[in-house]
Amino acid sequence: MKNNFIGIDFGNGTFKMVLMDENRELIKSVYAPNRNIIDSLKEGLKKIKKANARISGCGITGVARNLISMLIGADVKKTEVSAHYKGASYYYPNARTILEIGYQDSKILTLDDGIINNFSMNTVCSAGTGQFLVNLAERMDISIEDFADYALKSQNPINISGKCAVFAASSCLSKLSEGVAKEDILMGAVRSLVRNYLAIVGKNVELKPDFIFQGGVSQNKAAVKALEEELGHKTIVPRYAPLMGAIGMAFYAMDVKKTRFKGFDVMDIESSTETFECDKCENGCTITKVLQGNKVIGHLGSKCGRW
Amino acid sequence: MALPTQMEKIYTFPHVGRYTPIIANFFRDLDVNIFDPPRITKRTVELGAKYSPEMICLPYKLVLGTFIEAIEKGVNNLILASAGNGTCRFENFYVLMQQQLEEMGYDFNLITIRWPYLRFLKEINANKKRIPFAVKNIIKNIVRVENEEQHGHINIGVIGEVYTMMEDAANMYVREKLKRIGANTDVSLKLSTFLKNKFKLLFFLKREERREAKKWMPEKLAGHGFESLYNTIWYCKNNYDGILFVKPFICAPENTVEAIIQRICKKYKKPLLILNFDENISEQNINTRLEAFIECIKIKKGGSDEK
Repeated sequence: MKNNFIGIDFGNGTFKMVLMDENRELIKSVYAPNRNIIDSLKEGLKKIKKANARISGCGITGVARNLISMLIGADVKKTEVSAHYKGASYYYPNARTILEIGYQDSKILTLDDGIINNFSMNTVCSAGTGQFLVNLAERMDISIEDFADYALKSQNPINISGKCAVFAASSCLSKLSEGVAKEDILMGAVRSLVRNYLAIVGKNVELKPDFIFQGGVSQNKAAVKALEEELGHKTIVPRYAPLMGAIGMAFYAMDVKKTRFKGFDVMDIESSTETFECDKCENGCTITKVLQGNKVIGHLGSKCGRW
Repeated sequence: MALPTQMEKIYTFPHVGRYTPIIANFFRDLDVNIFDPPRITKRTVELGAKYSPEMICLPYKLVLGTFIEAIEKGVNNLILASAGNGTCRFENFYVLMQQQLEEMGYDFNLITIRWPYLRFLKEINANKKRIPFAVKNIIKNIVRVENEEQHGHINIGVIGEVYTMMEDAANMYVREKLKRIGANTDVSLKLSTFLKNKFKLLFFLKREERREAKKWMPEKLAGHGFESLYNTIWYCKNNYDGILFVKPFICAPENTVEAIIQRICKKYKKPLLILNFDENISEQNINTRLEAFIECIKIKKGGSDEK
């Protein structure tokens, strides 16, 4: 049996899990909406288990990386920036700029000779992230998969002003009640998203080709079109664009000598979390106690490192 | 507001991060009845934010919160530094605080540290005979704290707004977080910098960098905008691995120089991370960005073997 590696990217919007072999080929992948950590994880592991693989390493990224790493026993955990960099720079050694738009995070990575130079991330605001499009589609009763088909039909996209995602969404809805065609609103929204993204995250970043566009929003063809128009250059959307973070983590896991992965059935053991407020000092941190079976496997959330 | 003379006078001052015990010690050396400022906790931040104008910066909110909590604990004399011309809104802070605290019905006396210092020392009833001893002591302590040994492999220069840099609660303990992931920090504005500045000893320091910074911004800057500029150049020239720019979300002087600092870092090819702080910012976001920043630098330093 060959060595196989798991990479997980647990984002705010979706849950990505990949199984790779030692030749860096993708064997199996899971791409599902994030319902809650334990259920999604259980489902994902069940699907991957069907491939009958022997796991020699496991890497985790995304917002829930600390908790999941405790639950299933991860070998490497890194931030999304490193994960996306590792994935993209393997497939595209000539990449100079990696554009990533996710559900709540968006970032731009710049590379020099294949080595990451700097990154820029959205700071205090969600304008320029995928959540805006998801909310809008929901309000207009369009599934996010059909979004691009609608938007690309647009002849005269409307101009949506404003940097704020909330105001932009309300301006979209008021246009709808003025009788503007749906597709024009959707294309306008995509354009405003891309403009905001480049204005907020791409501020003072040197954008040089080759451009790699990944993350969930890259699956929206209208967004790709709008981004290419704004950049004035073609972008490359990798085949596994939404999975790139997870793939990157599987690559990191390949350097692991002995894995701590607890096996596919680990999620069958009843896992739960308890939260309480620590009263040992005035900080009053909210601590999450993680239980697996009846055993406490770790704590999250303390500022001082007591737990 | 006059206080009844028979009442015992208890003094306190705002937190200044690692300098807090040193300053308390200084006042004790002068036989001033000082009360250690209460630790900045969640409640302090909430109180401060509740009674502050909406569009004021986090340092103001923290100081006001500290003062309210101190008064609740029986303090009746508040000491606040108030530098003269050339600063930002900071010089107006004591007026706003005085009015706010009076409106809340507290009995207190707000003393500002300002030129001439002898009058200030008289105001707090300092024991004049002990001044030489106290000064000697505080200098010794400042030198000790500022030259603490650090054992990380990465050197980060910290620039930005002065209170955000000095007070750990104002920057979500970034120094400690960086230390935990193996990075050394050098805070550009120290208490010693201020003392040197007062006695005109700073003139010879970082001269070349000042000259270069003047070229980037020939006009006068409020607050410590100019200091941020030349310190950025200094860190770039002195081979620091990265620059961390911390500032309150609403900080006019620092937001003015932000774009120039980005340009300087681009010119010297140094990674730059900008963090904005206010009471609503999520700690998870800050952690992810810090971790990603350090991972980036590690990849860069590791060169091609990391890839």
